Amino acid sequence: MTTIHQYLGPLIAVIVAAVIAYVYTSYLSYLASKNEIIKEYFRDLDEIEAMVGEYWLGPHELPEHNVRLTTVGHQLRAKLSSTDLYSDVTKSILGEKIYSKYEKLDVELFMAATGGNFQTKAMAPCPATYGIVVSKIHELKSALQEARTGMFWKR
Amino acid sequence: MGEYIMIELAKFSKYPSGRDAGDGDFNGARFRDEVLVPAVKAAQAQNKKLKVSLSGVMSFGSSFLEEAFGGLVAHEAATKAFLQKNLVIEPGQPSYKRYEIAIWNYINKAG
Repeated sequence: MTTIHQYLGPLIAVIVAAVIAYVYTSYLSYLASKNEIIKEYFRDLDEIEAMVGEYWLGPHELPEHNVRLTTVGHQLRAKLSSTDLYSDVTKSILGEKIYSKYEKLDVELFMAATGGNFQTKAMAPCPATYGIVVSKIHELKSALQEARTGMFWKR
Repeated sequence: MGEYIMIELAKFSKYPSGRDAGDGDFNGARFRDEVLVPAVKAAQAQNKKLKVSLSGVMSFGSSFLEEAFGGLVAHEAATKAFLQKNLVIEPGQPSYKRYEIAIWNYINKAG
């Protein structure tokens, strides 16, 4: 009996420490997973920016580039469509305030990147459109960065 | 008044593209003139609302959406007030909400 009581205190301390370590490690893993998802959104935006540059600055007036630029147009449209913005996972990752800002910017990006003469016979290089789209992309990245830093440093 | 005239955009095309006939067969002007305008007229005549489902369409370019839906107001086939009261856009899936928002942006800034 005396032996058990001698070890009971340290045993409880070890168990409590293990539980705290487990909870904290799980929380850090959770934050790391959220961070990885946000990094994927960054990569999506990088891909979109590259395609937008090729499409909106490309020489559409030159027939030898038609196939490539047409392909880029379809890829851009598909990429924009596939970004999984509107899932509940995304909402929970970004939080309400940042999500509503991101949603508005996402629509503006879509309208700019695939508007105007996109996929029409009148399509021609348009640096102004490219500038607008790139600006929207960087605003989106800024919103993502805000979400990312907010995960670790609460104000 | 609770009934809808239903349009499934995917039946027009699963990959609509462009603004007019020179841009391809399944363009925005054709969808507007052959599908939307008759549906708007029917909705007005029968005092029904109009519901457009985006489900089943693979993706959109906003040039198509502007020509089709913004064009309803720009070409005076329907007023903004009528569409705001009687048009329902059904995205079909969460990620298509951006198309629904874009459609309303085009309708609201047209004319």
